[in-house]
Amino acid sequence: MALILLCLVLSWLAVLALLFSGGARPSTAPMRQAGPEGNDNADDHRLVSRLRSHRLLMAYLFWKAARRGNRPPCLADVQWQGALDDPHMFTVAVENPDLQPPRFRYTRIGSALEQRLGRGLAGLPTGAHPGNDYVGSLEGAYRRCARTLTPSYEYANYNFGDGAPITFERLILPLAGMNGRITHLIGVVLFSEQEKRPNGSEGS
Amino acid sequence: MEAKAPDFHDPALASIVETLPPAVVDALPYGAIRLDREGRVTFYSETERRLSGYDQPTVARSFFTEIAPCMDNAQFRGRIDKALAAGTLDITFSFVGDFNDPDRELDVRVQSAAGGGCWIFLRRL
Repeated sequence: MALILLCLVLSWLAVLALLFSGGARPSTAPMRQAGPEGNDNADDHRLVSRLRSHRLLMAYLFWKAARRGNRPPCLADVQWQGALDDPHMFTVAVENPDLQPPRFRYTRIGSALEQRLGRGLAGLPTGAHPGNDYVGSLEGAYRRCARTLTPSYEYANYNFGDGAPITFERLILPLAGMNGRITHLIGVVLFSEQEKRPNGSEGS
Repeated sequence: MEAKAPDFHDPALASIVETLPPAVVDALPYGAIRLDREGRVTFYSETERRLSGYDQPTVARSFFTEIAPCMDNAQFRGRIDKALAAGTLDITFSFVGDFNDPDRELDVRVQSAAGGGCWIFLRRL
């Protein structure tokens, strides 16, 4: 177990070393040009430093490697290696982006998220089950992604005083069409719950 | 001697802040807003006023749908209400989009206040 953990940590360090090694080291990732504000690396570092889960970090690195210059990847760019098959990942198509608020439709939702919700969502518009939204509102994240062409990250820790705290992380990655407009959002949603049930057992 | 500001992540942040004179709370490096049981603002710190750029707090927006992500469901709403009533609520979350800067990242902490209501602490990153 410790060996696996060590390997995991070393692989993260290797990934981070590649990420921050600058242009001196050859990379298989597409070359990234500086952003319009010239602070691309700073934004990159800030986001990576805030991600708490390796799942989110890996999703971000896949997305980053698939970008086309400053433009987010398109859906076809990320449909490889089962990258979208993660049980904690969902994909929505952006419908009528000019509407306020814009509309989204689930095209894929991971098994862990569906299990939490207790029903399938693929093909349904977001918000189809108000009051039962574990994926979260996408409007604000979409606006940020569309404006900056970069991911949107959220973190929350909830302590209600009636059990162990619940930690939540969500990373939203934009995908763009050939015209540069955002066509899809990929989300990775993680909950960590070790809530004590009344009988003392743990459940999620 | 100048008192050290309580750490933003201190588990007893709200309790500590409530022992401080208003002038000290005004000068904390992060913003502080106190709401009573009915959601009315009873304290709005000078730091928050300065950093947000607003003379009046804009905290009336929907907590579940606009600020706290992924909590728009019956389970969480009920637990937040219960925790508020019991005085045990402690929520921390990141938020992007300050009042005058849509790309600003904030850490937001919501803790139960003594006697009901809650404190909202906002730290700009």
